[in-house]
Amino acid sequence: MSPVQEITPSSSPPTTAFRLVQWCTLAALAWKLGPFVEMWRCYYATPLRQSFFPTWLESSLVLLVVYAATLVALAVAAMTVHPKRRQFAAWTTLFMVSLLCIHQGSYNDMTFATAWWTSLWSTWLAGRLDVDPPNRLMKRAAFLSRCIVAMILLGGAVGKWTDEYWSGQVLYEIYFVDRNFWFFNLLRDSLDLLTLRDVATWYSRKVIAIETLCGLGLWALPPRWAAIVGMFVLTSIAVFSNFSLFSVLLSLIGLAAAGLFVNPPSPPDCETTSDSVASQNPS
Amino acid sequence: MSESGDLQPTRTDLGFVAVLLLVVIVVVWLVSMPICQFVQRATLERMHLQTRPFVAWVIQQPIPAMYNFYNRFEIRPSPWGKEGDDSTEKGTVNHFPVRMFTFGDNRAVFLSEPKPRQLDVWSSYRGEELHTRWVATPSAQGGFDLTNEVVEAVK
Repeated sequence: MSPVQEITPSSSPPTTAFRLVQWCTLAALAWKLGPFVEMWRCYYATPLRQSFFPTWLESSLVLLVVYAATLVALAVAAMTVHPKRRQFAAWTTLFMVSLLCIHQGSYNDMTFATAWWTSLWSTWLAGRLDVDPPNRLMKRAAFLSRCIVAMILLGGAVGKWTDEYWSGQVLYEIYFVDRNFWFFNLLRDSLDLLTLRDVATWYSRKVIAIETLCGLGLWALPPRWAAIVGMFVLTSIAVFSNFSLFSVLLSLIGLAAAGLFVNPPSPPDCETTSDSVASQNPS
Repeated sequence: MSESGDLQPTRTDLGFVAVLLLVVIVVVWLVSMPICQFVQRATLERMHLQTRPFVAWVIQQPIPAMYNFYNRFEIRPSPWGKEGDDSTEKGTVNHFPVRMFTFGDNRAVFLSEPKPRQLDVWSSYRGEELHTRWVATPSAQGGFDLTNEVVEAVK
């Protein structure tokens, strides 16, 4: 075993964070397993030919194979203890998720856009687990994770910086009019139409404010605070709008949680010692 | 060692720099959207599958766009009814409005019978609007052929 491999034991914080993100991304993709099967049956029974996509990116068979391969690659990445196998699985996941982002049957599903970013982070981290001292690597991994989570929330915010969202009209039409979800059913049962429309306005403004604040500021918070805030915000989005959004958000929740694995700041001497000890005691 | 010192990548960690740079590029693209017509048009065209060449659309796909823009649709059976007909399905959709024909859960509803269907989609963002029309025609090979035209380009 090379000295480089000795410094990152399989239970080190970066390795644990890496595994957590793989499991969360796997859970995100598995969250839509039922709907995916139903959709795949539709794609198989009703193919759609259009000039925009290359023929192979319209194929239901390609979609099925890529989706299944992604699940397998994520499971391998989460479980294996072999560095090379882990890196191969991470690269495979990134490649497969890239295909899911551009396939006719899945391009519009933000599940795969968020999974793409967690896969990119994972691919980078998989290549560093056996190279860098755990504590320093974990700080960089957490910094990158909160930059990515902030950027994705900013992406949601920017597209809503419009009069139609600020007035609540868009979310009123999408959610408040007839969406069968506990929160909106409760509001419809409790409020008259005018009040419901007002609530839609403030609900929409709340969404814009939270996404904007997190998008612009989450990356600058201390790692643990960023992790807690990020996990709370991402979870609340699904709980108060649509449980199926967990397929989009679970991978990000895992990515945000990476910040929890950063050790609290310590005096310079202690920290130097910590990395040295880790390098001498890989177990 | 300070926090900022720990974030300094080691000399060989080009991956960290590359991913961070990519994030920065996407952030610059996103924050310029409200003020830059080029970004607005590119994103509207991306949402309506109008970007050419295809690789330019592919490159944009990782850019987060959840619940972006005001996207409306109308679906009419053949013969195309007039706007507001009882047979017209209309609504608002979160993003990528052409999904009403392409995505599985919608395709199963709107293209369940081998009859022609017409889909009109509008997306607007801060004064820019794109309107495209899509026609799904039953194919002899099974399924549908989907053609489209830009009815009204971004202003």
